[in-house]
Amino acid sequence: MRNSNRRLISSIVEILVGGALFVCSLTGVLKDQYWGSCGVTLMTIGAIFLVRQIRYRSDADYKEKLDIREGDERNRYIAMKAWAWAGYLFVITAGVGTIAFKIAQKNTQSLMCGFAVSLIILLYWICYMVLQKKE
Amino acid sequence: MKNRIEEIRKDRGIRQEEFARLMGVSRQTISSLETGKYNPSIFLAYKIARFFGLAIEDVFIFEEDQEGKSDEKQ
Repeated sequence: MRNSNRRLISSIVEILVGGALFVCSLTGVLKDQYWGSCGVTLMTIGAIFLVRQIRYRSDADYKEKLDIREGDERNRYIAMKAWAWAGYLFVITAGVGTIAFKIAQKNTQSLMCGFAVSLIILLYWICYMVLQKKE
Repeated sequence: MKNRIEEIRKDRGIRQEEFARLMGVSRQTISSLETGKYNPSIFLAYKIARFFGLAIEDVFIFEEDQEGKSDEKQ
């Protein structure tokens, strides 16, 4: 696993920050309960990654399995393709949403969907330009 | 791109799991390579050919009409 130490530290930080948010929400320092929920979520994610990291360091079979899964070129290719598909589906869904909301005379929602489509196309264009120079 | 990985691997009595471990990839990747669903990177292709002690063109068969097609057919 690449950056194993960094991941271990970040999971500990997540647990600490999550815990602090939860305690602050519980004691009333933070009035909005939203931060308490965020804290619990952050702690849960941190705990899952921490357990994973500990297992990675202590279980040789699990380490090998995870290293192969991470380094496997087909896995990386499928992950990239999945992102591309997700992007296409998002654009199509938002595009359909733009028209559907307009027909339903919900202009704000239509505008938001249209904005989302424009933003993702703009981001794609920027990423394409950057990668063209980089690769 | 067609290849002779399965044929050569079986000739040498190597199991898919073992071969995958030696190549540093998953067993599913070897399976996809053997069924022609996935075309490997040049790096993996070299690694496989070198492992078998063969030239890359002895393991992988280049087909001109396949040029530019997707790496993964599924």
